[in-house]
Amino acid sequence: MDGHAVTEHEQELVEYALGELDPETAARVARHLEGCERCRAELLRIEEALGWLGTAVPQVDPSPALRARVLATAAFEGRQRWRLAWARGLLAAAAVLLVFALLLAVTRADRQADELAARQANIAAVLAAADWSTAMQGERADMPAQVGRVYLDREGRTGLLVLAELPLPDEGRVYQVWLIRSDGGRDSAGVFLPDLEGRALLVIHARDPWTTYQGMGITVEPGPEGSAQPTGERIAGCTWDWEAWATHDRIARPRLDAGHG
Amino acid sequence: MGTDVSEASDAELVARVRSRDRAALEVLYDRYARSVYSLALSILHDPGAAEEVTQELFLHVWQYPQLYDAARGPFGPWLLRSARNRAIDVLRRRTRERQLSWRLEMTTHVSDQNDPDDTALQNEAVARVRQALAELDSGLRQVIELAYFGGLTQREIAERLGVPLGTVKTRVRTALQRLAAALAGDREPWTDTR
Repeated sequence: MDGHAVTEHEQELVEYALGELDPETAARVARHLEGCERCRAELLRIEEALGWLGTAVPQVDPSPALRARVLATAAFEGRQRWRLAWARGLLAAAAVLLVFALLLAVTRADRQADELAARQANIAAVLAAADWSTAMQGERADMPAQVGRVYLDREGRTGLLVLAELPLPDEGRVYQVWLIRSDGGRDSAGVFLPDLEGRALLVIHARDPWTTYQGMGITVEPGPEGSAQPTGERIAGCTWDWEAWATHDRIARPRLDAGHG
Repeated sequence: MGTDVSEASDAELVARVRSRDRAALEVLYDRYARSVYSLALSILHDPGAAEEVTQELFLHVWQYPQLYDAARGPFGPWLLRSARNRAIDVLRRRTRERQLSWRLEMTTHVSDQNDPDDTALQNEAVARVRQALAELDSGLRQVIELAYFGGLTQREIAERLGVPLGTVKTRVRTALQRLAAALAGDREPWTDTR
């Protein structure tokens, strides 16, 4: 149309650019894009149009205080970067203790020994690489304000989600973890059920690096396989603000009690 | 800040941000904060939330300048897409049902309010996209505004407007193609092509 030769994938490219595709289809489109120069060019064309469309709104100046705040925060962040090394050390030390506590907890669950060892090694590796953590907030009235923590390696794709005090979902339902992309898309990170004491320990494998995500949510979905996109009530979640790490010195210290109930 | 910084291209400024040059961030802020804030405000209708989106976005650029890949197009549209996505995410997190009717109401007049003289970014691409948007027939303009500024999925748009999903998909695709076609040939957006 309009004299432009479009590709057969154009509809999917439009939906991909608008962040509307379910994770599986988005992944398939991304794989196709890797090998198709024509579609890559078309996506760039669509994305650029979407970018320019953002200028077609009434223009309003933000307050001067915002400028001062942004620049001051950036300056402060520059001075605080040295704290990262210190924080890594703190997290690593806490990780050792947490793994020990988790070992006790998981042992009590009477798992197979080899399964346990593999799981423990996996968890230890994720924790050792973790350099950031934040609290998972309970979002339903019958839940505590904080239901656990997520530990992740900001430069990698794995993380550990430690949850406690979760009520069991209704019969036939499961909890599903969603990673929230900057563009609003949701990637499923798997389904789970807490144990009888409401605890869960999940190793999360993100499809893309953590920096492409801005938060995590847990919804109630039909079991046993969950849904392609969130459909049920959201019961817990967190957003993360990478900048806050250094800007407000809110270095999240691991809570050892979260690991073993 | 030296004049060399204030006159640098966007790509050069992002490179400077990578080497922790705060003056470069300052120039990028001065170039784009108004556009980013205005877009977030048009989506959220909440100055506080729009400022928060603006602040988070610029600090994100400061913290992770490597996330901008010059091979995927110029900086300005990339930044505005990020602003739109962040604002839509905030919007979607608000109470969904209450928000839907409100979003419908608030987003149907975005382009009607355009004043060609009030944009911070005066260039041909801005003029072309506004012109193209204004020239879309009302059916096409409505769906693209609902999808882009309202953050509605095509399925939600179909349900709300009572038209088949296939029709909505065709309209969104056609509208985007018209906008893209209007921009074609203009390969000099903002300052990022030097």
